[in-house]
Amino acid sequence: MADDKGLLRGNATTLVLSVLRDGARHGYDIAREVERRSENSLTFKHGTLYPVLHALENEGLIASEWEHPDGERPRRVYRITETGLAELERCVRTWQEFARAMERVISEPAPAKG
Amino acid sequence: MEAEYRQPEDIITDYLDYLCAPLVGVVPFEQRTRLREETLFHLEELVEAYQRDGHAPMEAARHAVYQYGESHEVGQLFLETWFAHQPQGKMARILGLANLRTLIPFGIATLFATALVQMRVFMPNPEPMTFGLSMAQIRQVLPEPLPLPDASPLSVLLALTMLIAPWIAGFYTGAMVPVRPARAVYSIMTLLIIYTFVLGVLLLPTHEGLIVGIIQVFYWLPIGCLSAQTAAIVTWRRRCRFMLVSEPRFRLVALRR
Repeated sequence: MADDKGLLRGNATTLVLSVLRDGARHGYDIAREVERRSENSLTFKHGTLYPVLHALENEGLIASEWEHPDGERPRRVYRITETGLAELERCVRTWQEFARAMERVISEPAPAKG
Repeated sequence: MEAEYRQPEDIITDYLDYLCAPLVGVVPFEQRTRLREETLFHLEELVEAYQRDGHAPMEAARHAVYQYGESHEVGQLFLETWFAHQPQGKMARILGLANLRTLIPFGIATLFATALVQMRVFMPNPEPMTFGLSMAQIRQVLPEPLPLPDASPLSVLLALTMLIAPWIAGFYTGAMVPVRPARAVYSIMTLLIIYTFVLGVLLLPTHEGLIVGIIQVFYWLPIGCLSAQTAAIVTWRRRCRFMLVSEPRFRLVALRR
């Protein structure tokens, strides 16, 4: 699963938006949360996350701002927008329909011959 | 490689230089700085996490950089994403920005070449170039039954255009399209070749239009793709040199020991 880069890349939007639905996070936090929730089945090079974040921000699905917590390093924090929530809902619905269809195809027993 | 780095911060700083160098001159300063700052924060968090797991600082920095990914791959991905989200006009939205930027030089070259062909077809018998020689002198070099060379100004201009255009257009494309320029040349040249062949059929029974189309297939297309790709690599390396990094990629393999 971890080696299937195409599958991961194709669903990057859904993964990022899902993690941000529960609250604002910075990039490192998002990467760690994806790994944690998937029990390390979805591992990826963390650098590939930022092009996705910047693209989602360009599309208005997420917004970001610098945070300067006391005594800590400044970090850029991302949060989901209303448009992002609607897009996430659409992505999740599409994924669930696809997964159900796949499951039906995979689990359907082959018809008896003769 | 190890000897070059005395402390973890050196590895991180070097990595950031390699990551951002190819973006210079393409991605605006503000966005490059933002990527650099976000990457720095991310790498420092990773280093801390690896240190908490019991790694020595230098080893933690090496693991962090490896976990973040090859600098040129991350940089290229960022470049592609940025290029795809450029503010675009109506034409660019229809064609794609890369294709539009490719269409300009290759389209102009094709229109110019086909215009010259039409002038040759519809304005026959132009005055031939004699290069200061009389017909008798030329015939001494090229005796009968050898044909006289077709060296009218139009022919010479057409030959030069057909010879040079794919190189110039390709290099222009490579410099202007930082992401997969060869693919853009392939897409646009396919359309232009169809246009030339349609024109060639309309110009029958003269075969000049069809010959131009054939030259575009076997010469313009490969040379255009090659020169565009070469120009993109040269431009990429020039940006890296400008940022004083010796090569376009951070040698991650050397660190992974």
